[in-house]
Amino acid sequence: MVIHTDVICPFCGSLCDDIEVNVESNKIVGIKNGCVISRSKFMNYDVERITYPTVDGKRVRYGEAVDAAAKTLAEAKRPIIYGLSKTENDAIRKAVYLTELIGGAVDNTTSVCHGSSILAMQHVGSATTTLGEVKNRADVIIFWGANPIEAHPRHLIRYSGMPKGMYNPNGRKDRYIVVVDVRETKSAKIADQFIRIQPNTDFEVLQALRAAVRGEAIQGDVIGGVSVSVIRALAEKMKGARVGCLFYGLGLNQSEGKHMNIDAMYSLVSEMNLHTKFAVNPMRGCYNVTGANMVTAWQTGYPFAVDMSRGYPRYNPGEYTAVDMLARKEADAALVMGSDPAATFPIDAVRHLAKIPVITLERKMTPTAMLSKIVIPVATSGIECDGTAYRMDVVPLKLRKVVDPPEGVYPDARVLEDIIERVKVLKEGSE
Amino acid sequence: MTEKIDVSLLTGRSLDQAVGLEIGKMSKEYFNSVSCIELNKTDVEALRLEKDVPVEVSTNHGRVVLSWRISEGLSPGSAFVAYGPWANQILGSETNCTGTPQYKGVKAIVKPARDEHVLTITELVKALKETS
Repeated sequence: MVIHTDVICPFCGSLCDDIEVNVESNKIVGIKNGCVISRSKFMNYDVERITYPTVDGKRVRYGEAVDAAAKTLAEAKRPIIYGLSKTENDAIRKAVYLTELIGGAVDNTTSVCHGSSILAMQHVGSATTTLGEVKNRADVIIFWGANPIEAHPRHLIRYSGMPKGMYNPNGRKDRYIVVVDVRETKSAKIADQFIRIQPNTDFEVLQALRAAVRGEAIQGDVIGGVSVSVIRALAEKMKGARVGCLFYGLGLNQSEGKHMNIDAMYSLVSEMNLHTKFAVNPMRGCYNVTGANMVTAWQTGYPFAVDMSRGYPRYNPGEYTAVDMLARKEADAALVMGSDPAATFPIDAVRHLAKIPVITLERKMTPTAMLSKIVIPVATSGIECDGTAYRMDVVPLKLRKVVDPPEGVYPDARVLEDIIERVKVLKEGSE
Repeated sequence: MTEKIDVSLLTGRSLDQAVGLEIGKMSKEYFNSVSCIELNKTDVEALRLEKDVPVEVSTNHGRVVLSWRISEGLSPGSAFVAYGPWANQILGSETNCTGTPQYKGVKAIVKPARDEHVLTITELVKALKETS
């Protein structure tokens, strides 16, 4: 048996880097240190796998699938490449290059998760920090619209709640944790304070909190279901922090107000720095959605929602984002990788996805793969191939390969490279 | 007894959903985690829901049949469904120029769905293909 230590877990944006993976005869037989999701990922990596490519539901050779994918993309007038968040950076780089070659649009899962966060960061700027700094220095932690115990199970254990840090020698006892949410989640139950707000009132509560931090009058006694006295007490708690960090989740992005909720939050944290050190960090879901933003930004200047149809990159969330392009029935072909839009997009958008030729690079059968014209199996990044991924605090970490992929199954980057070579030939032939 | 109730529908991540999707989206674990609506006990009692009778959840965008369970963390009038193809049947694609649809705080109606069953993932995809 081979024991691999310090393996990165490729599930959520926490990218826990202390996983121990036991491998016997090219099969994972056990893991240590992972959360229950990590355990499910590593121990089920070989369950329900797609092991051969298909075109129109029929088994084909790998080369035939690549040819069919290249032909579909090269002939499309308005193709979109979407996903990119559950793969490694080199594959994302190649996906962006392929988009340029075919004159398409490229979008990643940010557009349905923290896309509004990026809009707000671009409006306000961001006072951010790393999880290491949080562990060592932060004594007031707020989770707003986020449920780390279920979505990022070891975040509290490794960074934000329990660990002993340089200036937090007593671990949990040295931190005051607040959860603000519309539900009393499992995370709310372990917090020092839970503040329940009404759905779709984040903006109002955040603006009231900003007013309280500035010492201004607040009209009304209750804002968004929260007593003004509670809001004022929270403002004082935040101002009294040695170092504070506000972690927020999709409760803000996906409710009414969207980017304006986060605009208010980033403005609040900016103003907090007149009083003490305070940072704000999004709780990123997919393990390399941050990488999808970073790499797309290296390549095009923009983090998501990029159109290359004019031969140069243009950025416009709401126009070049995948849900919008599908709901408007604009996209006429799609390549999906590192995501499952048929399981994550609203029904109108999925209906159009079901009408157009879709190429899916996927490990396991998904609703998107079930709707696809072409399905090409790929290796599991971070288990069956290496690469680099960005943690939620934009720290790049090296993913490890611990087992070989099934025979004839290649990493995303290799499949994209093969499609790119075929597209080049097809494009040259048509010129 | 109330025939139907208005709720503010929240969709989101759950631990069981994440564990289930890593087993596979055709798995029983995934199905159980994402085809179930969580309701407050008061709302369940008002609807007099029976254990094995599913509920219909409808919005301006469609309807879906789901199993149900009680969640202590929800206020009366709030409901939760984990992200997945079932919840997406009743969500709209309007993004207000942000790219992000509204997945949380959506107005919905919940009522018992006697003589109906929760569609499997294969049935959902088949229905999708037929209506596309």
